[in-house]
Amino acid sequence: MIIMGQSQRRLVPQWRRFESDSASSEFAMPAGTNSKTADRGLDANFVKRLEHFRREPNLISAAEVVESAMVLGRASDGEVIRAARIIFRDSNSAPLVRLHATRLLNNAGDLNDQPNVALALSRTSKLRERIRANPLDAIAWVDLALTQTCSGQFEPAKRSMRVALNIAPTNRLVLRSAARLFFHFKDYEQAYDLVRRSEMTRVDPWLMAAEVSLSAFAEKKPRFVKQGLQLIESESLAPSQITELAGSIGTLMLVDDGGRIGRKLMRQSQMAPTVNAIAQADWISLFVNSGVSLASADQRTSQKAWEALALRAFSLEGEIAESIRYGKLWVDDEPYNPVAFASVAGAANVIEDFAIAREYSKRGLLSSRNDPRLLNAMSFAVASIGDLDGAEAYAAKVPEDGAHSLVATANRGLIAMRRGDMAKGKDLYRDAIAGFRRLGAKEPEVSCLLYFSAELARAGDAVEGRKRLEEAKEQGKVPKRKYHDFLAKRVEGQIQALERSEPREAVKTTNAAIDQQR
Amino acid sequence: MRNPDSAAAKLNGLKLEGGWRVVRAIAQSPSATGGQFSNSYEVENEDGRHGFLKAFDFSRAFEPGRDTISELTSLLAGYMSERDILLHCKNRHHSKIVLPLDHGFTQVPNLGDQEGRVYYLILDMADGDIRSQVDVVKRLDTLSSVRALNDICLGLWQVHRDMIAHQDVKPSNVLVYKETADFRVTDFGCASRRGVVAPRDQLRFPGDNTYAPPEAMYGELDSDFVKRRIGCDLYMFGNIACFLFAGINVTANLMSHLAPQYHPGNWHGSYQLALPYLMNAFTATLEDLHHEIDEEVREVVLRMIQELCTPDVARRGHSRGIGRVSQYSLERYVSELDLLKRRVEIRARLKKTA
Repeated sequence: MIIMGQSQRRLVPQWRRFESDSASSEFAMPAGTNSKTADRGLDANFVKRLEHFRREPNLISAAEVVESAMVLGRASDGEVIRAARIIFRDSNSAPLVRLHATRLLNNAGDLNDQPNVALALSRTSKLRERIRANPLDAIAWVDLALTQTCSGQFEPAKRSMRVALNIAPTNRLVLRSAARLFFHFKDYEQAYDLVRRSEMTRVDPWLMAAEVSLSAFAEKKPRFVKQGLQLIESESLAPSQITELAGSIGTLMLVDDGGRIGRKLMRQSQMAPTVNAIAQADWISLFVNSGVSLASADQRTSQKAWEALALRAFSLEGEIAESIRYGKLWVDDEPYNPVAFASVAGAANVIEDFAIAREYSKRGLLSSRNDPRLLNAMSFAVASIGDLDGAEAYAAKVPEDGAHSLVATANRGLIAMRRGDMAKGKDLYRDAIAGFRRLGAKEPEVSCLLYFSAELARAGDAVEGRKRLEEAKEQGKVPKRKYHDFLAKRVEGQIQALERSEPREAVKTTNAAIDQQR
Repeated sequence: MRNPDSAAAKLNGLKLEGGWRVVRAIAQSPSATGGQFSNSYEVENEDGRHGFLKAFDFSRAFEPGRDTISELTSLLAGYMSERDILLHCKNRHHSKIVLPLDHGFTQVPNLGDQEGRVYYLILDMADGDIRSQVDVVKRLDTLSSVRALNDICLGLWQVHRDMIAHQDVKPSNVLVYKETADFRVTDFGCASRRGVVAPRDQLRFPGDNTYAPPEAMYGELDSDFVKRRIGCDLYMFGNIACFLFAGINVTANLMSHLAPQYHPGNWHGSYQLALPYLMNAFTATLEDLHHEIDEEVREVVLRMIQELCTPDVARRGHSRGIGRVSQYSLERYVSELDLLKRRVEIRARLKKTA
């Protein structure tokens, strides 16, 4: 039993290692917020160095040109490239001087014919060592907190993040990462307060976006909707700077039935989107007409929208194996995000690759202990390979409220039926289905019906199995989910084989469908 | 920058007051900081002593379309500021500063009284500078590098005690004197003195931008003389330490570790908001340097660079002085480097005898 994605997705800030995310537009400062930086014309010293280099092209004059160019942001000038080549070819150049020249040539595409050039010194230092080298590096503390979170060291992660907040309390990257950390630990109030109370939120579109999104989880009224709308309408910022703000407010409005403005904002959020904004637009398109053309949005960002790709492949295209591949890349991108792990584990359960399902559930549970999605995925995978006690134990850890507990109920139904207690199993499945129906959660209801049908077929009850399958097909017409089609096809095969009293044929049909996906 | 028709370019062969004779013109160093209009010559005294003559070129003030009075005022102020600071250093017997041997003005023959008058400064002639550190074969060895660092530190400390900030400490402004086996700081054309208005004081950064501290590049200008100008010298001194041992300057390395969007030209926020990214790039710089600095002196030199070149101006200076009056004083580094120099000298001697 699975639930793919999230029932309440918002544009909560994402958190990555700074090294891999440093070029993201998320941390650039929009023009116009502060104009203190002086105009940088052609520097007189740079001109003199170039003249000297033209007269005497040697290692020293070349090094001076390259050094100046790097500082002044003129690294792509033709003569600078020529100077860099002289350094690169001179075996007497000091290693770091050579490294600068190599980086510069590489950025200019000048080293294409020399693939084995080392572009960095071998940096074996770990985060701790980096912090020891410079304890006031707030970003290193943020990175350390991320590593600690991923490895399940929750208290040290919080301490590291607090150090980062003390060093750089107004920095966007630190604030958004800290908000994400507290969100990850389900301390929604603290995550929200951190952003709401920051003096920067009044002027920063990225923090406004976080405030609007987190307010839904903290169950608070967002404070920056009006200001955010004014900022978007003012058109004073580049589209890349308002993508998440527009996406946050757009989501809020679409959820609150503010359709026209909501759709306009969602379209604005896709003009120069982050991968988070793309995933948000994809997610909301599953439920309402957001007016967004999803096909082209991910071409407007240099990063890969793994989350959106995984969700599309799973729900809209029924390409389960592709969904797993994208999901794994999403996990690499956000190695703390339980939804990313659950996407892989859930999809792996669909194609009955229980080893992958267990691996990703286990890894996800390391950084997200007791996450109900992962517990359910693990419970299902473990039950499917015959460890019914283990499955029971995982199901028992799922909190007793909301849709996730209903999934756990369905899993308990599966466990009971596999133990031979058909009556209890059926009751539990029926309870789960009724629960989903009460919540109006159609997608998990259909999934539950399909799995119930499969278990009935497995137990040899073709009549009720067929009944549940037809019910699932009827309920699954709107919204249409392709993975439901995949599951339905497989169950259909099992039931038809049973109806023909050919149990072996049922198994064959199942295996053929699974092999095709793998 | 030089005007070949100006009087300052026609001093070859002239006899000057004080028994000096202009021997030959010297090509201007490409690292002479922009905005200074001067010509360089080698001069010789009657007793055979050689000197370096810096002739100030005021011809620009008389070019068509220029406001002659304001240009002339500014050029004269530049000359007088540098001269007065150097004379002050001479009176104070600052041993690690390139001191003036003479100064004055001369009249170039066949030119009018106004256009033919050239003001000059004569300084000790050096044997070279430390720019060859980019070359692993020609570079100074560890002992010489420590000696250089010690001398530069002493030179800067000497002027800092008089509330003079150099603001243009860079490899080409550290001169080597082989005869006396020492290193001295030169070129006070960008210097500021507390309480005295200098012509380049109004600039965002008076010195060479390639070696500028990050706060100056981002336009973060403190009104306090010590924090802004002495703090800048501390950074540039740390930069020299980096250059002596690794052949690069910290500013260039910082910029190489920053994604383009955080570069000063692309950053439109305050310096405080850019600081975490700079601190992160600074950590990467320290990692780079760790592999390059000779193990014998690594601990002391790397700590010095860390303390002196931190992009956070409020935390710049010796760790024991942070938050105190002495935060921006180089005194502690003078002692530490003197001790380090002695240690390296003893080890070198022991190696020789072994």
